[in-house]
Amino acid sequence: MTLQIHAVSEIDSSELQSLVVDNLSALLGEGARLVENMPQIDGCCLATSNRHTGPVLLSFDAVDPQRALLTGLARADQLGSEIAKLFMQDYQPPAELVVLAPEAPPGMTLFGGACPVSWRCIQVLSVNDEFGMVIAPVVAEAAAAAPICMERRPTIVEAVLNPEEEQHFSQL
Amino acid sequence: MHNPAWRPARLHTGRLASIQHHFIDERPAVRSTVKPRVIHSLPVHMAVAAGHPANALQPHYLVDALTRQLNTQTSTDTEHPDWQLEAIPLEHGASNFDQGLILVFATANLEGVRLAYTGIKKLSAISSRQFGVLFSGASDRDIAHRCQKRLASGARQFLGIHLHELGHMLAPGPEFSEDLARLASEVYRLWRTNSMHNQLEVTHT
Repeated sequence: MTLQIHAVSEIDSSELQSLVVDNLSALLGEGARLVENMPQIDGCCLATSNRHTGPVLLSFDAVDPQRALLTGLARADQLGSEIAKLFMQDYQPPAELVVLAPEAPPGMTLFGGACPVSWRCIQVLSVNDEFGMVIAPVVAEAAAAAPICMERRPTIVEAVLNPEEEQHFSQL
Repeated sequence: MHNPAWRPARLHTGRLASIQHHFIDERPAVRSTVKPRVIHSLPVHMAVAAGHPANALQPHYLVDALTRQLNTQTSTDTEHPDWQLEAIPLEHGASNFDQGLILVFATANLEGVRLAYTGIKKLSAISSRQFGVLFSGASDRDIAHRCQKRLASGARQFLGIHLHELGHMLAPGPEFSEDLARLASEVYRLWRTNSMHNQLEVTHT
């Protein structure tokens, strides 16, 4: 059987969303899941939670990286407040933004200091008329070259614990 | 002896009573009577981590169920006020609540413990208060126990506060009614003790 594989430039947003959901663990690591009971944020954004880093907003576009970045930035604050309401918390947890696109969004580094944002390279393929997604591995050198702030904004906890308390509450 | 035909009805009544916490209104209704009653607001600090397990007791469910349970359990006491539980935002403090008891609901993991401690630290800086701490979401008893001990020892060491441990509650299941009743009794006992203590202080001054 011959595999007919070619790159796809046009894909319906709901189909792309399905592909992203199917590959959630590959993108964010084991334990990543969709945040339940979230209102629809956008057709090309998904609210997810990673066991290690907390809330993550995925913004994706199969062709246009800049559109994915701008849509994601616009929705990042919305995610924080929605999660705060969902869990009745009195602070807004930091929403990390991960942009999924075939190329790095132009100007992404400009937003590095204001919002924790990163880019993962994806490529949508058609394999025997079925869609698939290639996820490029994270290259350490590329990450080092781009001054992208990957640190979470300090939470209310980190702001008020003194060093002794910090040490006491560093483990269970 | 009762008519045997009534037995199924009694069984249904008992069954409904045991699962009544599942049937919760959007906003827990406080009974309205002709005589105006005192409404007691019990502030709740939510120290719920972002990774709060989906199968753990959820904060909104706790608020609704405990409000209902407190109002049900204490309805025979005519002098007793009706209850409302309210989540408190940290930035506003809890100064507008009439009693010193604050319920802290925390995720049973390190982040939950840190959030709980932070809240207690901020709230205790405003005025002297009592804190009852309830955990949920631990994968086993050992973790729940370690969370309680870590938070209690930190509060005692750094803030000089003795926390009232309310234990760990699972998500609604077969034992939820019992656990909820026990929790409501303990919260009520703490509240009574605290309010009597406050009255004595007022008398002395």
